[in-house]
Amino acid sequence: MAELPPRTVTQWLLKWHEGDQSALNELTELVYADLHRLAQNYQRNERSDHTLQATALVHEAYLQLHGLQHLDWKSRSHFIGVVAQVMRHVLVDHAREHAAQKRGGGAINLSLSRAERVLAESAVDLVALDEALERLANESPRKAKVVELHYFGGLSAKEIVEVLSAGETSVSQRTVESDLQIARAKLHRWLRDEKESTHE
Amino acid sequence: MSDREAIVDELFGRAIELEPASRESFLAAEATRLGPGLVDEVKALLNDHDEAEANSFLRRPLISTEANEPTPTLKAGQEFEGYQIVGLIAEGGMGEVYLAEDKGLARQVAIKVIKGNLKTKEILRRFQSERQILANLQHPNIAQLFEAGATPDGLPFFVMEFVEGQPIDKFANEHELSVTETLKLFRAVCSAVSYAHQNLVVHRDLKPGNIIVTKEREPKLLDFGIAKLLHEADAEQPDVTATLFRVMTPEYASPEQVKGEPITTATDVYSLGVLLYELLTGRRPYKLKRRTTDEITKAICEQEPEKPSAAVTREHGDTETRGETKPKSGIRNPKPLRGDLDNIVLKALRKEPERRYGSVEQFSEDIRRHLEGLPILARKATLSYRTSKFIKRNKIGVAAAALIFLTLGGGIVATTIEARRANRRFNDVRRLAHSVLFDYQDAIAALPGSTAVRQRLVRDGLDYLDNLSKEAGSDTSLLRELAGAYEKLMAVQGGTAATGRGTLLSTSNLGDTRGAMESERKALAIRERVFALEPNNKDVRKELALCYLGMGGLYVATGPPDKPVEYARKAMPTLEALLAADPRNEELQSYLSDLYFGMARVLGSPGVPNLGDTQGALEYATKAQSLSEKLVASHPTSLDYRATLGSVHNLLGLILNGSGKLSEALEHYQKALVIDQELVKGDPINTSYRRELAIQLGNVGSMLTKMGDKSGALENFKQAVVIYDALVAADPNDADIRRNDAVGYRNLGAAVGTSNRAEALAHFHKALQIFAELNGKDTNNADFRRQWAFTYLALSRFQSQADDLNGAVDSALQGIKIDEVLVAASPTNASARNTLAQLDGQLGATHAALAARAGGARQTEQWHAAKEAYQKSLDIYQDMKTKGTLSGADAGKPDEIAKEIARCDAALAVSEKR
Repeated sequence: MAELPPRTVTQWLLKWHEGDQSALNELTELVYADLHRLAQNYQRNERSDHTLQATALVHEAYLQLHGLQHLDWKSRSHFIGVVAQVMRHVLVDHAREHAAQKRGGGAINLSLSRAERVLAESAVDLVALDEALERLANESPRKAKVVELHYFGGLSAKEIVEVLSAGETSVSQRTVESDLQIARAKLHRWLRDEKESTHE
Repeated sequence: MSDREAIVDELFGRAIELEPASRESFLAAEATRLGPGLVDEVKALLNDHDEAEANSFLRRPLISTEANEPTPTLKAGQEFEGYQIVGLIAEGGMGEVYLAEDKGLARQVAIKVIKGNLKTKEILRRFQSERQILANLQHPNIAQLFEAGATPDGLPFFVMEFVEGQPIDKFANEHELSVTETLKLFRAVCSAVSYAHQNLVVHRDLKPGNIIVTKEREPKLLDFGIAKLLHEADAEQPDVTATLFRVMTPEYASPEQVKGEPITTATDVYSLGVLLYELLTGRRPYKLKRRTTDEITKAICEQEPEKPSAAVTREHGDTETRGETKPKSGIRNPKPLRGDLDNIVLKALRKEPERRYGSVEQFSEDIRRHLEGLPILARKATLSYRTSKFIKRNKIGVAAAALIFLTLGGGIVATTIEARRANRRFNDVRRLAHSVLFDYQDAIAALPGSTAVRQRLVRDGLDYLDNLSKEAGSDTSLLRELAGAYEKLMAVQGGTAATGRGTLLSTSNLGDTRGAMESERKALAIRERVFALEPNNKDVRKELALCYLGMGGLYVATGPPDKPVEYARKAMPTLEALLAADPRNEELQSYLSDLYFGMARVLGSPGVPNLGDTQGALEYATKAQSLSEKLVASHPTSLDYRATLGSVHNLLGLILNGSGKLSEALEHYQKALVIDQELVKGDPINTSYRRELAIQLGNVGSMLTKMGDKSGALENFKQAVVIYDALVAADPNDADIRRNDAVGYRNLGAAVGTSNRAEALAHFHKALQIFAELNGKDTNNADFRRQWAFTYLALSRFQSQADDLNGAVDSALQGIKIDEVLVAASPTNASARNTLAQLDGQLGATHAALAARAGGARQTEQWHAAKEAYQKSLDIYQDMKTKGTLSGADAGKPDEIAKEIARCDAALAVSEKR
């Protein structure tokens, strides 16, 4: 198992806190490299269930990161924000590669109806979701961030409030909840429309 | 953020809080204020939101942040609680189901665990509830529970029958079942649901995915994850049901479920109606344009389903027709559905619960009538109306009462002649009490977690028995049956019944010693009455003897020890005479072996209140051993007899240990340990065997402690506590197992000792806490009380070693206070007196140690206190010596203590000179 050196992470975080913007890049790269390595490991013994693997991956990543508990809440919130973002990239990359492999291997086109697909696959098409999130970010950056933190970072509305206010965006929990609901509605709409246009 | 976006967000936020019905009027009002454009945007958002909700879109984060939780996902190939995981087969909202290999029994099983990051209180509660429900259900069409427990780190799991097959809808399609075949298959499903109802369980989530049909065409009901015990329905808040709606599959939900109204058995009738509709027509009963929550809710509550015969002739293309349920051969023949089946299905699907079939049994019965060409009930629309009203009025949590209703309900309503009714009722109640007390108890007794259910069965059964006793007269067969029922009750409440096979194992009981005594006394009174009526009947004599034996067994726990000896002596001549007349009778051999065993215990086993007659104890234990070995030799594969032999070895170890013959004792303990390991291997889900194994590990550990092998002892104690903890987790209501768990912690604390003070203290405190609870619940149990006192003694000794002398004094005093109650109640109780003597001795030693440290007046005080305590200890030992109840191991005690007293005197003399 690859190891994330918590001490280094902490140091970069502190630097970032003291205003060193380049520290954030270092931090992101550090986390990304590590998670990516993990993802590669998983791909080697890939089973059919992509989502499950991805979830397991992220679980392990968090397990490694929880050594950071001694950080104050602000640092932790910052970091979790970073991790959520990184997590999104890793998972989407992973999904993209996975899809490419499938196509390359001449995967069979599933013959289920469109509605059936939406219903049957509880797992979301991460690549499409990523694109939809970009679109949402153009329209409303905060909503996109909220979704990222919730869906990829696993944060509750309350925790999202903390992370956002650590980044000097002060919002109420109710706003976050409403943001999430609206974002889910819009993302669902776009993904559905996307599917309809490609499959019909 | 643009102003427009802000307004839309604001409107959305307010609308989403409202009930769907009031959203309309709210938005209409806003439309007149803000214009339709904005409001339409909000409406579209609301619609998309509902659809996202209905499809679970992004509902749960892809990941969880609870990094501290162990990841629960088991991996293929991994060993888990003695099973080998093959792979994940299903994943639900709260649990995961794995296919696993049970190597011991060479079979495949399904293991259900909670996802580790979802261990919320509510989910744990629901998981426990499912386990409890399954433990209570044994039916060929319900996937069977094999084992339930928790891993050492507290992850609850249960092991079930692995059902291989297809969901019922797929099965029906692929095998192109005819209407008749479909109906027969469906009736088997009904029998399972009806059985669950008789056990007061409503499934609440009946759908094809939860009904798997095997190759043998046997349907099996799975997933009681949101099932409910009927009597609990009252306590359920409406909003809980509302959230449940999301958990369950909306298409199969009944109107009352959707609306959050009370759930009864009629709810399952409805879901079965939907299922039958789908099996017969290949369609769902409602036409839906969109699968949003609102649409489904509306259809379920308002739309009248089309007749099945009409539905099969309808054109294809409706959205609710799912690919997999579409009939292969295109449009089905409507003819066999017309008339009866239309009526039957629609009756099950009525919106009002009271207008549906009164029970699943009636539903199934009507199908049978249809199959046999008899007139069906569905035509007479309101027959069951009164019946379901009755259920509603009497949502009692009483198993027996509801069972009576379910089995007799029809009879009571229909029979007109009063006398016939009374007679029939009497016999039915008799039969019912019998099955409640005997069949059900036996069926569930060996299952972990069954204690609470058994308790309830007992309470209800007892009421019926008491009523029956009043009406029994001098009908000896009924009287004997009644006595048997009381004896059974005694065993469940708190005793160990003499039943002949493997009875020396402690069956799990409810720790209600007083209740057990009362039941056994009632049984004894009846048995004596029967004996007076039929003094020459061998069976009657035998039963009376066994009843004496049972009574004696109860006194073993409560003391004084001369009582069990008295009863054992009453039973012994009869059993010995019967065996002499029929020397090969293995049943009698087994009973006598039990009797000798019990005799040995009360004469001189340090584990129970005893008379301190070590020699007599060894004599009887050896008799029990030879009978037991005979039985094992003639039944080499019987686990029960082997278990009995294990218990006899254990007893011999205990007695020999008490008389200071350590290596001989260890030998017997190790023999018992080997037997127990074989037993657990032979039957891994039997809790009694696991419990005995843990007891033996503890015994061997104690011996090793005495013989100076500290690390060996610690290892054995640790293994024992792991087993006990798992057993307690599986059945927290079992008082005996909790007692053993506490003893385990006490041993562990002593074994850890000063090598890790904090850990040792934690173990002691855990043991004390358990004993305090046990004694609070069952104040008459002498054993619980003495163990409690003994734990204070062990703690005090540890504190002395750890140099916390003041703590040691306090603990010894606590122990004395607790133990004195016992000695006062029963002055002949040797083990209670022995414990008290030890406590006084420990108190004396601690004061002496304090004296050695103190100076001046303080020092004199401490010597006085030490002397006083030693003196009390000596008095007890000397009295025991005079009465001949001082065990061999303690023979030297009076002299030892006398020396300590002399030391105190000398010290006091010195200080007085000053």
